[in-house]
Amino acid sequence: MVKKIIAALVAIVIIAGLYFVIFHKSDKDRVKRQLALLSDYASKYPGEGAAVMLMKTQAVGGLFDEHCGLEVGDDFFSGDYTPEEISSKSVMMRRQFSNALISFYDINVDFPEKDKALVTLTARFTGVVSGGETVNQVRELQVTLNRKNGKWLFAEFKIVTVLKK
Amino acid sequence: MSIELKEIFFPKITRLFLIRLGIIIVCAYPFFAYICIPLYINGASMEPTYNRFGFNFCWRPSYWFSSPKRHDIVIVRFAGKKIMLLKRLVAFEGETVEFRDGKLLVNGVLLNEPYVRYPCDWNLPPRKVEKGNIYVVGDNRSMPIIGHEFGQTSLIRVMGVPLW
Repeated sequence: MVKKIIAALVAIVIIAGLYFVIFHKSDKDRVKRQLALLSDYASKYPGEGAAVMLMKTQAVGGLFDEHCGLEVGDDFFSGDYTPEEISSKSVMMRRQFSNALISFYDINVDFPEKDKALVTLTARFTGVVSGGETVNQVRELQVTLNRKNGKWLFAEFKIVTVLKK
Repeated sequence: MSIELKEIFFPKITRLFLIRLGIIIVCAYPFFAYICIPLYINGASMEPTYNRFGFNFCWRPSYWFSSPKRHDIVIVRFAGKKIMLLKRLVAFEGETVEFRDGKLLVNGVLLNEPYVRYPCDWNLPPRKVEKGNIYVVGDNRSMPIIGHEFGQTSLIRVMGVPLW
């Protein structure tokens, strides 16, 4: 009888441990999830339909804070934007490219304050302009996210200047 | 196939073989991930010294016990852990760098650069290298100045030197 109880307790501990490992999401995981969503919403895959485009451009704004600063070394994108403006910028970018892929890797997340996350990552942008020209850019970015109502929202994107002429 | 060759290419899976394999894997990972990092050169900025599509390794111990010297070819971390730049170190902190009609001047003195083989017509007003920085530039300066990644960068970003 004692053996059965011990076996049951061990099984419960193992199941609880597995549940924690599989389903528990840390703040770091939540921040990475936001980046994965941004990558998906901002990318335009070949043959993407109008309905998907509409869904993505509307959803992308929801990932951003009330005011998000972009310092990306490009006058077209740099500035301070509201989520609605981010959505319309996304529409304009999609019109310029027949396909575009934004991916993030080497992601390093820090939490300097309670509701603030500072992320350093490598961003790769590959795309084909509607005219046929290929674009391939890699940059190191510093991204700031703020937690509002339990949701991590993008507040700033800044290119890390590696070489200054 | 001779027995020796057969033993090399199709070894018997013995306990000793598995121990050897394990040791190799355990040693190879840190060696190639942190000490001698494989590189694929995907740019023409160091031609003709290093050609595009070449292969090399970033040898990190180079600057563990010494500092970079002028004219050294250094590997600078550009983005994340994988994207690096191969450049020539031409000036240190506090020095002034200038391009005049394609010639590189450091502290107003023409720098002897036998490794620059292609014509260059760059002009860049003098600028001082900031504290903790070095100034790097590629050997191939035949492209317009706007199309060449060069300038001052933090010494912390120097990863090492190419192995050959």
